[in-house]
Amino acid sequence: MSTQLPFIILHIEDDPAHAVIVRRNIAGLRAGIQLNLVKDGGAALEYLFRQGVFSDPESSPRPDLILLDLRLPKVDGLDVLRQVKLDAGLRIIPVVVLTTSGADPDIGVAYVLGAASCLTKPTSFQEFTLMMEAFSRYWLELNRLPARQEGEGAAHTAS
Amino acid sequence: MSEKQADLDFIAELRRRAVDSQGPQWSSVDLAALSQDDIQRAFHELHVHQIELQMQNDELRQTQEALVQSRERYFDLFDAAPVGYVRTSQAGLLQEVNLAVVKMLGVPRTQLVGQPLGRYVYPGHSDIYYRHRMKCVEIDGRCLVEMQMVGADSGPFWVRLETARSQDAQGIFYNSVITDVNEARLATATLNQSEQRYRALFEQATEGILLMSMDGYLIEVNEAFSQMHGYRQEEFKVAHIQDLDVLGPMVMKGFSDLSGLLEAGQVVHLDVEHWHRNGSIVSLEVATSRVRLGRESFYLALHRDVTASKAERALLEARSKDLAEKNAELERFVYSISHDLKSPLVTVRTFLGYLQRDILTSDADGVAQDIDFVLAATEKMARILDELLQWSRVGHGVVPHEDVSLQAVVAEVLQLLSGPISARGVVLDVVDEPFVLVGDRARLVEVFLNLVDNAVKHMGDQPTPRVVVGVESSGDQLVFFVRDNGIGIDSRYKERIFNLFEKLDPDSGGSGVGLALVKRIVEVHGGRIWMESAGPGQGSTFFFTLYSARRRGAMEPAR
Repeated sequence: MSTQLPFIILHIEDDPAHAVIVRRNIAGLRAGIQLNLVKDGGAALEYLFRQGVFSDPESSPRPDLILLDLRLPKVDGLDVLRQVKLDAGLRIIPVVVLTTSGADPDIGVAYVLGAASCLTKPTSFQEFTLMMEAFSRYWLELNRLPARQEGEGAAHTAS
Repeated sequence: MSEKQADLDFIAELRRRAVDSQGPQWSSVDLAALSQDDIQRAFHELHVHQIELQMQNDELRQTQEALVQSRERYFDLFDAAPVGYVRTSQAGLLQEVNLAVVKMLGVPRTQLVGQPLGRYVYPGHSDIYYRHRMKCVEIDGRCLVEMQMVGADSGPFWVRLETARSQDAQGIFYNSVITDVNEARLATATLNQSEQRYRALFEQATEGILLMSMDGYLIEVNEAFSQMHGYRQEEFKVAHIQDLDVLGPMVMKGFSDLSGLLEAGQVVHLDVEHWHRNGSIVSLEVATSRVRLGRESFYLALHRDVTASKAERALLEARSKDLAEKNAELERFVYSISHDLKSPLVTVRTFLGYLQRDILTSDADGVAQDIDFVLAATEKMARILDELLQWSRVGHGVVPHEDVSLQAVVAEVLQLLSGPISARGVVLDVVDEPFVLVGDRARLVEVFLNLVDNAVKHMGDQPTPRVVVGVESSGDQLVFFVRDNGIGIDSRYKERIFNLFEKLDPDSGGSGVGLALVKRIVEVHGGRIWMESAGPGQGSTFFFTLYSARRRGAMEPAR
């Protein structure tokens, strides 16, 4: 594997069933992948900016990748994406967007806002499995991520 | 006979007379008795007399010549004058006529002299001429008349006749100047016709016309302009445009701003509002331009009354805005369904896949969990579909206009929620007044039910949970509110919360249709709903308006 371990993914997903599906598919594939789940856009931003219950950097480590469902309560998925990509410290983190519909017009907007990739949740179990395998292989083996920044793991102040 | 010959004859005649008259005196002189000196003196005197006479003769001749020349000159002036001169006797007979008159009438001078001038007056104007003659007799001064004359070879033509009475040793006579004014009169007639035509255009135009001097003084307004504003034309007696009651206050300012454009010859189009006499507003489309007339300029403003069409247009715009909003709502609706139903579908299919695998590997726990997930997802789908159906039902057909007692509604809600209320220990403070609402009873119950239920559910850690249901009356519409001191809502979301399937807290029960349904019901009843919250942890208040029974009939039928 070309990336450093542990590989931390922030999974932002409100549907608990979908969270389970993704977890099962990713965690089982490789060792050293840490999947952190938050259930709405508000919590996602708090995590990333180390606010509220997520102030402790130990329990809320900075992710290497963000897996973002677009339909979120409190703060909309696109809003989360926008804020991440506007922040000088956070925008380097690749964001992979998940949607339920491939025809979603929000996909275009997501790319404009800086999403690295868009995936559609498949409706078949096999397809989902295959998709997550390909996802892992691509992002953890093929893709080059930027080097971790100075002060990784230390307190990160929201800019 | 030549003049010289006439002169000689004249001199001979004089001599003859002289000789005859002196005859006897000369014959009495005794020539023999005269001395040489006497004879010389006599000759000398004769000589002198002769010279004197010669000189007098010469002078006379010069005077006569001068007179003749003068007479010729004056005759020339008279005859060759560009206007007609005539002299008529007291009886109206032509005594002298000049060349111009001869030409005018086409009759030779000799034929004219001795004829009554009246003979050449157009028969239809005889009486006018007659009256003129009578006036000339009375007045010592000039008399003027315009009438038509007729010549030998021409049709009637207009002349101006100016007559003055004169008197000399030979009696009273009248000197007149006859000027051909035919062309001038025709020109005037044409001008009059033209003027009448344009005046008719101005007066009968359907657009209101206003003419104004460059510095704002009112020149004229036409009938249409007056009527547009509910006035009669004669009522517009103001001097300056800023004294016009009908104008809105911005007009003069507008004019000074535009004078640059008007200066350049542009037509400026404006939409303005004027006051009608009865106090209503008249909407006008105005086209203003600068008109140049020789060295003068003035402003022309054409007004078209668009009050009616403006009102229509406003109505159309309101309708199309309404339609656009409805379309947008429909689109959001369809978008919502396709996404929010798809999500549980993904869950069902994926976990059925896991189920297959777990059955094969005889993983009983796995099987149980898989089935749980599938069931939960199908329940979610059922709930979504069910509430969607409710939501779409609201607004079908006409909303029943029954009288609904507020107290009865609240009582029912409290009963339905009695479990959750007491479980959470919520204190309820409910308005006690006997307001009567108009609408669909079951739906109104749903409104209060949803709002109170939400309030109870979102108490969070509040140790003394309290919900207030109250009313503020403002006119025909009652403003209700449901206030809680629970977890509050970030005011950023205060509009999103009414969206279909929007759920701020995914852990709370419900599928998220609740507030959207409430909003729809309120709007179908002709009201509106909004939320206010100071922020997270500071409770929230939902306000909504409904019509009270006093205003029955003001509600629109549901769309």
